[in-house]
Amino acid sequence: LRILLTISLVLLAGTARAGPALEAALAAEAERIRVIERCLPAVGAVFRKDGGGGGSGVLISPEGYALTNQHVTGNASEMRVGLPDGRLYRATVIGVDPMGDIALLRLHGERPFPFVALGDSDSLRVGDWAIAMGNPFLLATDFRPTVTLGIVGGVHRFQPGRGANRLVYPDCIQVDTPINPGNSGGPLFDGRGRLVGINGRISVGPRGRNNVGVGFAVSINQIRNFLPDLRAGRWVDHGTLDATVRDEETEGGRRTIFDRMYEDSVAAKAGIRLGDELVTFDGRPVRGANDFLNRITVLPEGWQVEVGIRRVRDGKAIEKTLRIRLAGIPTATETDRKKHEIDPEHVTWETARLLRRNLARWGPAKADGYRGAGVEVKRTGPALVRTRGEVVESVGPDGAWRRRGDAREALPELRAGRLGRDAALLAALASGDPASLGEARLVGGDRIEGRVVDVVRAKLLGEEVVLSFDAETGDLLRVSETTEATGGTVTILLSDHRPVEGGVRPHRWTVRLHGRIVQDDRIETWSIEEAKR
Amino acid sequence: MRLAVVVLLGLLLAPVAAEERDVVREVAERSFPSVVKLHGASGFARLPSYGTAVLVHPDGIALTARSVMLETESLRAVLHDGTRRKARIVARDDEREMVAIRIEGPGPFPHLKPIEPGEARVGQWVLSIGNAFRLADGDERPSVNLGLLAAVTRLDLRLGLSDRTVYRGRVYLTDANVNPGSAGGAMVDLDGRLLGVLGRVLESRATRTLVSHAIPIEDLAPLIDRAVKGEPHEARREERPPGRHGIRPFRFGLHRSPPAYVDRVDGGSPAAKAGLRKNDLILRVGEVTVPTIRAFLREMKRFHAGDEVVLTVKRGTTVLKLKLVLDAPRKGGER
Repeated sequence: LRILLTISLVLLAGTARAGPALEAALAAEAERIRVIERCLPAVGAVFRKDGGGGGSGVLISPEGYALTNQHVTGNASEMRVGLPDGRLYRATVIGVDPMGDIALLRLHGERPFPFVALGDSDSLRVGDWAIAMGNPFLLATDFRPTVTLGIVGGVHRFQPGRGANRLVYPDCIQVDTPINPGNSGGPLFDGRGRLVGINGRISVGPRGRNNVGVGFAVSINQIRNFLPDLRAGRWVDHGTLDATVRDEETEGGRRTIFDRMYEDSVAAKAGIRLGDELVTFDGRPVRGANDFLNRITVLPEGWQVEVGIRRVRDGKAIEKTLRIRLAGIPTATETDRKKHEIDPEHVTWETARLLRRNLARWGPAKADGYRGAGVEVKRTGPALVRTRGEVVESVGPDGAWRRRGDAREALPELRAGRLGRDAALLAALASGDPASLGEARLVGGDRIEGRVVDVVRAKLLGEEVVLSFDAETGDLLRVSETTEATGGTVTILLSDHRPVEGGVRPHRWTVRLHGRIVQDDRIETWSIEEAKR
Repeated sequence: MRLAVVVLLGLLLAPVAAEERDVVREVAERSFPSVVKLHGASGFARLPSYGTAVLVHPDGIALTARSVMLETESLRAVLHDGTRRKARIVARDDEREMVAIRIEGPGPFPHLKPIEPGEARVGQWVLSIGNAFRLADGDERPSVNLGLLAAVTRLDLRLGLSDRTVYRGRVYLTDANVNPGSAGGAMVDLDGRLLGVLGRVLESRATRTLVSHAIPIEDLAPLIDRAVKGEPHEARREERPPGRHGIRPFRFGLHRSPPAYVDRVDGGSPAAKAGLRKNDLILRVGEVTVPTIRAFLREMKRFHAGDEVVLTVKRGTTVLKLKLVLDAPRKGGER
């Protein structure tokens, strides 16, 4: 075949028209080979420990995290992963998402591992190249993956699951790239080698249980939503409103209405009633029941969503937007679930790794103070609180409020009381020293302002706080604590993260108390010099 | 390696400057509005109640593969924007198992332009677009598969396990897979022009493999023509009876179907002129293997007076090819 190709190349090169086209084709081919060579070292052959079956997987971080299908790992807690370097590695099953058919593995061995970057599956269009790698028919005895090429044949497909909500593929990617038994758990790359999905199932027709040109990959954007939970070692559930919708034909087109719900469902508790029209979900208009199902099923349990409904009563239409925390869709009985245990040793390891990375991001430890519109803070010594440009109070890092001047007139007591504490929390974090956090523990994921975050519980300055870090960048986005002193949850939202002095730090902080904004300050500068002044 | 070759060919045929990825992407995008999803009668064994049709005329004329699910008053076509429209069969091509439907509602409808007759080249890129496995619903897009025009050929095909023979004419074979539901969809080139209409998944009688094929659009021009003019049927086949060949095969019992041995050749008949003799065993009619008398007779019925037929026969230990030119049947015919 190689000879044939050469001959055809020579023939093509001989014709005048072929010149530039041939060059373009060769360049495209060379580029594809480069892309494949770059991605290939991160693709693994996954085997069960007892040798009974296997699949594929892909490394997504230098620490050895790898994705595969949950139907490849089954109930196992340990797997074997062969990498193209020819070595077989021990891998622990860290977290599982049985409904989304995803399992997160951690390979044990010499770090750093080769890995691939996560892409954006929503950017895919029908007709884009789709490269699959993996171990179809378990061919790769030397662990070097098989590569297949095709196109994206459909986007935003929904593939229903099996059994108790297992192996559901919502909003998944359809490809005509050959996917066969053994490809399960392997990566799907776009033409530029970005990881866009995990290959997991195929449609079968009269041709039997192998490739018929209709394969499906779990979208990487769905997986991204679940990664913090998976890294925290959890068995994760997908979100639901505990209500179903259906499309109803109307004279003017189609509308989507709530047609079934439990009395004690989160939907009913939020005020949704049967017959209400579902207008928007999670910030975008709903295009039908399938669209809704696609979009809700990629979200984990516990995430907060906005649901826009429309109700016609006495000829008048009322529209409202409800904020609802999603309930979970159970995928198994409690006994089933207990088979998956969170490994505390792993959680300790992962928490330390996360904090080390995320706090280092604030920059060198010398940056121990900052000045903003209303506050001036030093890591050690008192924080100075300014109002109307004048120093009226100083607050110690312990949060103790030392009254001076007319502070009580200038600031409501509650707000003033928090200010020092909140400023001190920030300053402690800004020190970049993980030791300032006690008993830290990664508990899972959440979403803040559309960004997926890692949630860490820890003790800071004597109180339990909840820290939320952007799962991808490591930026601290939220600090919250529930204290008796304030009688509720105080939330400090950090935003406007910008580079400064060899790090990236927030330049705005907003404090919410009982759901109300009590502080909203821009941070002008983070320099020591400024703080010392 | 095959893919590398494919890419080369594809690029040569595609607009040169465009990035290869964008070509397929744009063609799919442009073709989607002309491919409609069909929902019809259900409840027939394992046959799907859904399918695909491809719009070929601004008046809402679309072509699709013949299927039981079309035979209903409640046939619905779902347009690319999700609109559901009534549809009905307006013309049939029974030989090619293709059907023209008219979709109700105001036009003009988007539709695909055909390639020029004879323009299809083996080895060129093709996309097959159809609602495989009914993956798409409402305004969702049908499935797209990319592959090659693998062959332009005549095949000895059958549908499923029934031994019903189907079309013997020219078809396009492709490795851009056709699956349940995609029949009636579009085979397009990288300029977005229609090469053919996807047929159902068929099994080769010779190899038992399943093949994906399309009926060339140029062969469907008369069907489109009749659909536009509102003539449901082609000139009735009965008006043009099979031509006379003059071969009298051996006949045993009523239900047995033994090999096609020649018992007698009518004097002066096309078979006699071609040199066929008693005791010859007829192996093939044209490209089609005829294992039984029944298959032989059925195959011969496809040919009319004036048609040329090449028979492959075994005489003793030699295999011969004999060319017959059929003539008009006499009264009483030969059966």
